[in-house]
Amino acid sequence: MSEMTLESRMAGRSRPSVRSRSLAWIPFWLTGPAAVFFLVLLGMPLLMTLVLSFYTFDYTAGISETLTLSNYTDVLFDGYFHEIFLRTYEISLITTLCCVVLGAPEAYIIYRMRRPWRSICLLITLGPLLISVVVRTLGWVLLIGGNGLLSQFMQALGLAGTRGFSLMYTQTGVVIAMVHVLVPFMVISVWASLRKVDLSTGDAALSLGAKPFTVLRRVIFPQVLPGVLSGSLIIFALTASYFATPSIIGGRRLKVVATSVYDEYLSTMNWPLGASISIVLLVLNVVIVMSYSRWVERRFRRTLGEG
Amino acid sequence: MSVDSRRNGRAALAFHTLFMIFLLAPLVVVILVAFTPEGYLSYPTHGFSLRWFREILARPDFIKAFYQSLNLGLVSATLATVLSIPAALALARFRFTGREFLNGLFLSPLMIPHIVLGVAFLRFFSQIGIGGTFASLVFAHVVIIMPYTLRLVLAAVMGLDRETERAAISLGASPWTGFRRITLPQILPGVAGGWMLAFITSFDELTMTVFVASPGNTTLPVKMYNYIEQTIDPLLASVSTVIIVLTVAFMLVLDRFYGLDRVLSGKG
Amino acid sequence: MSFLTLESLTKHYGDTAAVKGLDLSIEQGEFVSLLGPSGCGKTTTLQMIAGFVTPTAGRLVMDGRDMTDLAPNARGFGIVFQSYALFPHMTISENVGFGLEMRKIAAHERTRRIRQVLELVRLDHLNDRYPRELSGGQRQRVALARALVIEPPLLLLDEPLSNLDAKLREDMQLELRNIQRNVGTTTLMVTHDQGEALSMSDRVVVMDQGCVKQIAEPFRAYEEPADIFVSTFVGKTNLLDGRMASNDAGLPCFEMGRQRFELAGIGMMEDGPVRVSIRPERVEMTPWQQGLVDGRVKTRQFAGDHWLYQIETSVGLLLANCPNCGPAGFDIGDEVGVRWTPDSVRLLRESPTPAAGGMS
Repeated sequence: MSEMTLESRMAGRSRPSVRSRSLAWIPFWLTGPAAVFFLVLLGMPLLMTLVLSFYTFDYTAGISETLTLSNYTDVLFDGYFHEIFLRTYEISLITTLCCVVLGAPEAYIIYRMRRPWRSICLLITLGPLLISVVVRTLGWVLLIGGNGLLSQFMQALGLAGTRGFSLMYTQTGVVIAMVHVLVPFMVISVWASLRKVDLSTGDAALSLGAKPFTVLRRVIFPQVLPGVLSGSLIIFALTASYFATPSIIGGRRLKVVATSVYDEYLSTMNWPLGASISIVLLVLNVVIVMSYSRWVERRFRRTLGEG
Repeated sequence: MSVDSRRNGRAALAFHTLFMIFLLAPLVVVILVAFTPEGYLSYPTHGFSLRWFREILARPDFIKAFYQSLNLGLVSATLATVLSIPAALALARFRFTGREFLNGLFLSPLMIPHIVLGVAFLRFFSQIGIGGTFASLVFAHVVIIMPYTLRLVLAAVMGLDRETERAAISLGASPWTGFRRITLPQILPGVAGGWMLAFITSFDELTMTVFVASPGNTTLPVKMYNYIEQTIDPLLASVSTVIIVLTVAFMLVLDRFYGLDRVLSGKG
Repeated sequence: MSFLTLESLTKHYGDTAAVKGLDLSIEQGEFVSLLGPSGCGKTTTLQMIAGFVTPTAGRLVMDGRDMTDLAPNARGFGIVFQSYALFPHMTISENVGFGLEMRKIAAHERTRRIRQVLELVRLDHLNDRYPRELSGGQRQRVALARALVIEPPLLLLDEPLSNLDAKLREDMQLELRNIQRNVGTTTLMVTHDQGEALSMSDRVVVMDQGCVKQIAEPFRAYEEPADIFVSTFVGKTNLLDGRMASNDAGLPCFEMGRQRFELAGIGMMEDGPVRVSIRPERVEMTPWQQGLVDGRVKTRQFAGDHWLYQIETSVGLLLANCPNCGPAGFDIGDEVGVRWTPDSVRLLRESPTPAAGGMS
């Protein structure tokens, strides 16, 4: 938006009355503070990071303002970064699928409960979203770490050797903790869809001879599919850039994009490279989110009238 | 009326039980470990002890970080709310050039990974010379929490019957009085819900804050993260337990007040 | 032997009884309505017949087969839901074909039957649309087609017309009944709209608070209501409280204050307090002092095909319904007389209190 265009638009109009003219400015006065705040505090930093990503870095001389594309060629063509990006998106995909498999049925089960269980279970499911990620991840460290409950349990069952058993620094460990952190988003999202579903469609299918599982598969699930898909999008986008959980559970051994950005910035101090990784991550995120939501919208326009 | 065909079967309830265990297990474990009498990570098999809670009191750095987080949450949630109310009114009630753009702009932090915002703020604040200050933390937090306040306030304004304000004006109220006496009280639940969601989001934020915080101005999540990087001991569990208890209390208030599912659907 | 029999069907929710020992027999091809105010248990009854709600007690027998514990998807009844419950993600053809698919009917046969039933409800041109893209009346007909295509032995209609506007509702009443007659499917409809029940059904079952009050043909339910509830719920009426007495000739008559009114077709009864009902259309307005009682017109309403008067009389406020044959004969404030024939007066019994207590 530019105020120039508005000014010229206003001027072009044939003699606007004083009243309509002053009214026309109201939305700009109202949004002005927030707009300035965002343009300065969001626009500027991102722009500066974009510029930074083209600067040159030298381990002895530090950052110099010589423009180069080498940061991007490193990120885009180096096998090391390919591995990191692939691992990140693999973790995202698996986490998202697990969240669908766990979260969607759970949302339906809670939805079918009666008062007061319904609100209690919803509270337990959504509540963890408000508890610090560091705390929740710490819980998983205590559960799946070397001397954790899981290890003791497996030892007691004789499934793990005496040396114990740890999921720390493994992809499985990261995925489990990430699913725990993010699955409430799937429940909320499917819940929102379920609220629009007429549950008597399930009864209708039953009356037409469908078995309970067929009712779920053919009638209920397709109707909550938009919720499943939008929940998946949120979870996928969040996991792809998640930092805390992969950093604490995956550590240095299992680098993902977010942790490698952190390392470039705060250990290696190669800010331009870190900046270019961030820009690539941002662009990928935006492209995935945009194209996916456009696809979802088109897919459901005729039937459910929503994305 | 309850319909029997819509009840959950036995398999569904078994699934549900496992799901609940999965959700609660890590939190329960943290709380258990916090009560260990030992000097290392272990479950309190030989009696409960409060030694690790007393240990918190001996760590002024943790207490300071807690107050920092609290202050930061209060200030930035309030600032975000104050910016959101007029913006939401404009977006909901006016059709103007740039409306779509502004709407997108205000919600865009939801789509930008926090790690990216973190490095961007790190560069920006150090360039303009306010790196590591409390003000820079507030600025950064307002950017990431304003989408939440805006969404909830916007939903409240959209759900409002505009006729009520028109009725007030037809009865002789000025537009400002109409807003203050009629509109504001009606959108207050949305405003409060937005503020609370913003507060808790700010209070929990780690990924971006890691880059913006400085040793002098650090938040509790950052403090804990840096501590985990060094070592994991029962102190973390006792601090976490305090956070869990406070958050649960906060959550119950929020649920009573506004409905947790309504607040959190603004989070997605 | 009747086709469908409900034997003391009962449903309790905790301490409250939704349906209390309902007995009903329905003949093959019959169209029966369950009529009552909301909360009277009619929907619960339908849900029990459909199998969505398990009865606390009682039996459901169809064609000699006990179906009480049969799963809803094994009953094979066609159901039209109040919300229509169309599958929003399927086209009209897919919606209608769903039941056939569940019965594993071959694709070409399916297509044929879908086309046939959509022709029956006059929607064959919309087979590729989605439910959202149809009007309310069209959705209603899709729901009917979907229920009929499986050739159910019993069709259950749950407030099928309540989501339509008034004009469309009347058209659909006719159409629905015609289709039902053509197909010959035994039908049970639940409705709270007495007009709908009267105009469509072979028999009406009037329910209140979980109990059946009357089972009768529509004309009988209207003309000879079993009790006060039925007389007020089915149509408008004038209720008069008085005593039974006998006149000079020793014939039973109705006494109110110092006035006595003749009754017809009633055997000897003990003297005592009674309540009678006179339908507004049986109340005739006359010039002053030419009727049975005199009064003054309090209000007048024009309703298209008739005028509705409220008349203040010595026996209370009376409603009179006069066919519209030109301009209104009386004005507000006019002194008028009112009369009725002895056979218009219906003696009412108090509602019999059901044996099982626990009225909610």
